[in-house]
Amino acid sequence: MAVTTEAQPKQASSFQRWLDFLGIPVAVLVFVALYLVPTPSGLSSQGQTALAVFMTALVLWVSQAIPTYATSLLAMVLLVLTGAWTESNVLGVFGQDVIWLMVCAFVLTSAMTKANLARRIALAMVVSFGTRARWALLSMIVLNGFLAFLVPSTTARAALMLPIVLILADVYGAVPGKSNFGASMMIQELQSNNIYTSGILTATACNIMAVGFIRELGKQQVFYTDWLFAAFPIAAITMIIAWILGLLFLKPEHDTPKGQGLQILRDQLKAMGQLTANEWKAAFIFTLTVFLWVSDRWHTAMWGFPISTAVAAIIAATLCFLPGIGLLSWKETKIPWDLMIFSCGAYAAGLALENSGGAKWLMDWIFIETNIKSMSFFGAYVLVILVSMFSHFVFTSKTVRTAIVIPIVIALAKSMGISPISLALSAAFTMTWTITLPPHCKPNLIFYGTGYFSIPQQLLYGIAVCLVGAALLILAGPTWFVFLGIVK
Amino acid sequence: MKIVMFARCLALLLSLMALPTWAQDARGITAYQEIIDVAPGGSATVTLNVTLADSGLDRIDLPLNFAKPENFAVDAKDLKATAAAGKTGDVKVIKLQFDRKPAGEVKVQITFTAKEFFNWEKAKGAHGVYNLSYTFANATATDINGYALKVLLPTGYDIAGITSSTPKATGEEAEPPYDFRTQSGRTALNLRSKSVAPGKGAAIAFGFEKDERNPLLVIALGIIIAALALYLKRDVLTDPDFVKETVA
Repeated sequence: MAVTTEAQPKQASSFQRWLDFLGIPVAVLVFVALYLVPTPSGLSSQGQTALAVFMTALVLWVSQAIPTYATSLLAMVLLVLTGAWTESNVLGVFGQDVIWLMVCAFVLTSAMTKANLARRIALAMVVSFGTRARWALLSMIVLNGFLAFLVPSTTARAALMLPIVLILADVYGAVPGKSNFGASMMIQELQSNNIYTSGILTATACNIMAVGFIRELGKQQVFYTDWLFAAFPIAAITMIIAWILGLLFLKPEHDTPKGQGLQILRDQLKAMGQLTANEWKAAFIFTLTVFLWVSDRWHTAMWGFPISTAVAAIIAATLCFLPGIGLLSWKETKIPWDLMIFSCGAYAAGLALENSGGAKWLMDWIFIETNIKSMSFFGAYVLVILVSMFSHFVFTSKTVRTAIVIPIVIALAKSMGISPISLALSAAFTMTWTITLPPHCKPNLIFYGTGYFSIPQQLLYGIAVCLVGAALLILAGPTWFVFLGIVK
Repeated sequence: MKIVMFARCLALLLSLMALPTWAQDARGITAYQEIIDVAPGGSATVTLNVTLADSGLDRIDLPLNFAKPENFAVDAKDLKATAAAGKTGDVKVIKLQFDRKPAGEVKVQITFTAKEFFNWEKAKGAHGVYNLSYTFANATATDINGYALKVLLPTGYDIAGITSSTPKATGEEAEPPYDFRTQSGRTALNLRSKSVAPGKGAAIAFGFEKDERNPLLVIALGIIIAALALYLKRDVLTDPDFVKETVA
């Protein structure tokens, strides 16, 4: 199994050395400056401190001057000691659904791996579609696009794909922390997971919420097909470009699986023979979990109560350990606990920033400081797209981000005498582009836990893809969106 | 006989309950703003800006949620009016009396002082934060629409954070129920509620602190940590065997 939590020795580049050397002093400078500057109007002192802690952690995560999990612990300590967030809130983050989802996703992955089912699926996919590294990467991107229509939860889709991509990476000889192919595949997984979500109105709750705001505050209706025809092409084209960028800048080491011929893999698949009892068990648990995730909107109608994504994952993990039905012991389960610690700190820093109103204040401040109201429509459109796209840096919740950014944009459009839909819908398309850092959303954390890519790799690749997406949205504004009647 | 007695008791109870409401207007209050100006000593000057619907009544009871209010003053433009603290049953109210029945909508400004509004000693919490909570309980029988509260902090204090509010901030509403900003060099906290029905309330609990943070300790600690880090990592740039722990 490719999941590992061990550090992989790798010769550091000159850039990495400088980051490592200057990371702590820069982080200290950032903290001192943001903590001591007079509190601006509209921002609480807790919000100011939370912003200082968040930005300090961001510098340390990116520079990796200290291990990422140590940065998370430091962030938790700073939040409590400075009074930015209460101790009970900080410690309570361990009870967040994302932590349980990750634990259970790795239990399920361990079961699928032990049973060899994940390997069988991955081999079948490689033999069918991924005979070359580039096509293996593309097939995973396309598969994510299909799943986005079926499974209305980004986290569930990530947990679903995790065992398959881990084995696929293994088939191609990818080593965590060393392999370009592994890094490319995992980053593209989280990118396609998030970006395809932006293309389908029903793929996540925040899209529906954005449409609700446009209807209630902007008095304009957005239909499923309006959203699909406008946003899905942007998402699909972006992912194709992201795939090409991956091939250029994270060139796969081997073009064929482990540098071997396809026949060997066909032979391996054939040698696996019929499904074993353990594979049947794993398949049953996996299918049941997928069913619970896919059917979540009908749960209440079916049995009178909803089962959340997290609880469905806990049911799956429970089944994995039960005698008779299950196939796994605790010792055989590989859970990257350092990732859980990292996630807790990252979530605590992000939630403290949101709950203290710091993130909202930052959004307001950006729109006021840029004097957007005096701009032409196109100037304002470009600025709104860029700010919306990169606003995910300070939010951990897409829903909260939508609730803050979309009403601001609608109010802005009204005050400028522009049709609200022209600005707000395009801004809404960017709400799920949370692809630059692990703590930005749950799928990012799940794939970061595989250990295949570093934070700077995700950051640079993510910023490049976000810029591509923003450029496409800006290009579509006066052309495709005008044709569709979205921009008036 | 018992049934007759029960009916009489019930009728009496209902009539007593109706007492505070007999003079109230069914259309209620269309706007109600409370401004609480907190003085450094802990007292507060309270200003109420109330818009009354066309009631045709010459007196009305308004909610009173302050201990020991005094020095009432009223400005009702063309009307003469008086206000005083009083009780309707056990309920503390502001009794607003006009010299005649107003015709049409009327806007009234009432000011008074609440001497013991804030106790600095009792309110002091961790990290130098003072905790203040205020509940506007509508104990009258009048619907209050367009409720707005403004709390002006003493000069030199900032909001540390909001503990709770009614209406609750869910983070998913288009306009949050509260905000705060600097107003003429002082921090003003605003709370809004579309309506406060009889028996219901609006509330805010928050912390505030001095707007100056002692920079010496933070800067000194920062310099020590940064210097220590540079010293401990002095070989990073030159060590040929330096390896990086890449991921979690």
